Amino acid sequence: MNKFRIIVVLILLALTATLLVACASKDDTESKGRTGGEKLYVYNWYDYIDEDILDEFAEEYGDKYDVNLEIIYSKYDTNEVMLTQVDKGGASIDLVCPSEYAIEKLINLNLITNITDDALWAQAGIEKSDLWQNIDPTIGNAIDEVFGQLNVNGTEIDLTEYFIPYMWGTLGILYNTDVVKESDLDTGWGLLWNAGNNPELNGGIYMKDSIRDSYVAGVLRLKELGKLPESVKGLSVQELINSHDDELVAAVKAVLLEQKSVIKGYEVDLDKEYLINGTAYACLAWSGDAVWAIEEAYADYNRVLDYYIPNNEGNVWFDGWALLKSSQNVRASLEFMSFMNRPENAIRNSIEIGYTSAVDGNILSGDAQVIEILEENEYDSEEFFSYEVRYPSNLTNLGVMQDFGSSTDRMVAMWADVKASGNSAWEIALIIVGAVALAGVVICVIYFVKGKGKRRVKK
Amino acid sequence: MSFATKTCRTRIKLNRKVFGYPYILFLTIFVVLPLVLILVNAFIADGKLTLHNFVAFVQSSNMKVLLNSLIVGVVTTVCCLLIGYPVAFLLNKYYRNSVMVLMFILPMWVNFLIRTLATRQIFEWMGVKLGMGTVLVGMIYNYLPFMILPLYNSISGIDKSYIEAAQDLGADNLTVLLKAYIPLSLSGIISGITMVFIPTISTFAISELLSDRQIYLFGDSINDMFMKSSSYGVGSVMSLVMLALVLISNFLMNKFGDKEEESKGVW
Repeated sequence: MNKFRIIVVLILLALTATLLVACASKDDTESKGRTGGEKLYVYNWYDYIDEDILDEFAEEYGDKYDVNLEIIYSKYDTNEVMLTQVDKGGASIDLVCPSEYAIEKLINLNLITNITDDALWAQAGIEKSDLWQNIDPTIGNAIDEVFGQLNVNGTEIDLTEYFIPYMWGTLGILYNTDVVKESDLDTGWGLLWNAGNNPELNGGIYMKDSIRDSYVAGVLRLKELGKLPESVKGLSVQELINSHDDELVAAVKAVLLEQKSVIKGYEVDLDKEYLINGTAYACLAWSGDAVWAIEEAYADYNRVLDYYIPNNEGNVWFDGWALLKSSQNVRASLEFMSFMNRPENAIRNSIEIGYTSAVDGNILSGDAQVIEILEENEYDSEEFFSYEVRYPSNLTNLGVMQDFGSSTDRMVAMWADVKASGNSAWEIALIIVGAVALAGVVICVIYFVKGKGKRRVKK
Repeated sequence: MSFATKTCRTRIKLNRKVFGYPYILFLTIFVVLPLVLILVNAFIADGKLTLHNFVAFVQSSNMKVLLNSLIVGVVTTVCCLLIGYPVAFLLNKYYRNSVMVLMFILPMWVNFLIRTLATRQIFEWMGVKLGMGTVLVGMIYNYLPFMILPLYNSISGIDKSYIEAAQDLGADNLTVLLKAYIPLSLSGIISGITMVFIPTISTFAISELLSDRQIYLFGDSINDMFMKSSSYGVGSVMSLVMLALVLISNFLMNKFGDKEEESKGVW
C-alpha cells in the first residue's frame, strides 16, 4: 500500500515537472527591439502550406511596419469543421481558406468581409491593390458562371469579391497501379465499389470521411449505373452533385451503404499515407494530395500510384482566403493574401503540398524566379505545367459545389447514418456471453465433482 | 471568552477548508458552468425553448449508435473484469507491493493516442482486418489498468484472517474465492466497473483509429455533432444522455456497494 502511494506521488511529481518545463520553455522568440506586437490568426486545411513561408511573411511584414508579427496557425480537415468553428466556436480567427461552397455559406451567414471594399483598405491604412491580378482567369469565370446570381438577403453578391483563390483542383481516385487493373479502371467510379471484383482490392479502399466528396462519388456511381431516380435524370454533373432531391439522397445513401462491405475505412488526410506505404490500394482523393502521394510513393518505396477522374466527370473546386468580419488584424490579413499569391511563394507552396496554385500558369511559367525554384527542386518546368493531374485540360464535365443551404443538416444526418450502419457488436457480445456461460458451466461441474469427492473422503 | 476574540477568529480562519476554495472556484468555472451550458443548449432550438432536440435525437440513427456503444461498453467491461480479476489476485498473492505492480501502471504513462496508434500498427503488420474486433481489443487494452488497480487495492486490503478462517472451516479453494475473496473485494469490482464502463461508451479516438472510422460509437457521434454539423442542440441532448447513464450507473453501484465497507481505492 505504501509503495503504491509513493508511486502515485512520483507520477504526480513527474507530471508537474513536465508541465513546469513546458511552460518555462515557451516564449523564446527574438524581438529585434521592435515596439509593437501584432497577431494574425490563420485557420487553414491540413497539409496545405509550406510553413517556412509563414515565417518569411512574419519577417517581411515585421520589417515593413516595424512590429513583431506572431502568426497563430491552426488546421481543419473538412470545410464543415471549419464552418462550425467559425460560426459557433467563438475562436478569434482572421483568415480562413475554405472551398467555394463554404465561402458561399460564410457569405450567407454574414461572417466574411468584401475584400474589394475601399473603406476596408483605408481602415487598414494600406494602398488598395487588385488581389486577383495574378489569378488564373478561368477560375474567376468558373466562379461567375456558377455563383453569378448569388442573392443574399435581397442583394446581388459577387462571390469573387469575398475571397482570393489560393489553390484549386479536382476530385478523383488515387490508385496503386500494381493492384488496380485496366478492367477495374473501366468500371469508372465503380473502382471505389470494387465493381471489377478484384480480390486484392477488396478491403483496400478508403472513402473520404467528408459528406460533400462522398456524395459526389455516390451520385456519379449512380449515374454510370444508370440508376439515377427519374426526378433528376438528364441533369448535368454540375446540377447533380448539388442536388438534394429526396429520391436522389436516398439512392446515394443506398449506394454508399452497399460500398461498406468492400472498403477499408473512412479517412480524410491519412488515406494517402496508406496508399504510399502500400496498406491500401485506392482512395477517393483530391488532385493535389494525389500529386504529392504519387511523388512520395515513387521516391520512398518505388511504388507507382496514379490518379484519374472516371469518365472525366467529377468535381472541380477552388479554395481561397477569406477575411472574417471579426478580424482584429485587417492589415496583416490583406498583406498575407497578396503575399501568398506572389509567383515565387505560390510555386513553393505548390511544390510543398502538391496542389495547383490559383496563380495563372502562364504567369508562373514566365517568371524567372519560379523556373529557378522549380529547377532547385528538380522539376522540369515544362513537364510541371503540362502534368494532367495538376493542370487538367478538360473541365467541361466537372461540377462546382454549391452550398446545400437548409438541407445541410439532412445531408450530414444521412452521412452519419451511413457510417453508423452495419457494424454491430452483437455477434461479439454473443460470443463472449457464450464463453462466459461455458466457463461458468465448467466451474460448476468442477465444483460439483470436487464437492462429491470430498464428502466421499470424509466418509 | 470575549466577543472581540471571537470576531477576530472568524476573520482569519485559516483552517483546512480555505485550501479547498481554489478548487471550488475551478470546479464552478470548468465543471458546473459547462454542464449548465449543455443543459441550456439541449432545450434550445432556433432560439426557442423547445423539446425539438430530444425529438430529433430519438428519431435519428443515434439511438442505434447508443445501443451499439452500450454493447461495446458492456463487452469491454466484462472482458476487463474477467482478465483483471485473476491478474489482480495473482499480483496480490505473489508480487505484493513489488515492481510488478508498477509494470501494470506503466502503459498508462504513455499517451493513449500514441499507444493506440502503435496498436494499430501492430494489427496492420499482423494483417488483421480492422473492425469491431480490433476496436474491442484496443478498448480492453486501454482500460485494463483502470480495472486492475482498484481490484488490486481492494484485494490487498482484505484481512488475511478471514481467508484463513474460511480455510479452517473446510472450504476448498473455489469456495474461498467465491465466498470470501469476491464478496470482500466487491467495492473494488464496483469501482473498477465504473472506471471502465463510463469511459468506454464515450470514447471516440480508439474506435476511430482502430477501425478506420468504420465503427461509429456514441462518442464519435457526439464529436461529429459538435465539430461537423454544428448541431449543438442535439449534441447537448446526447451529452445529457451520457450524463444520465453516468448517474444511473453510479446510483446502481452505490446501491450495491453500500453494504460493503467504503472503497479504499485511490480512485
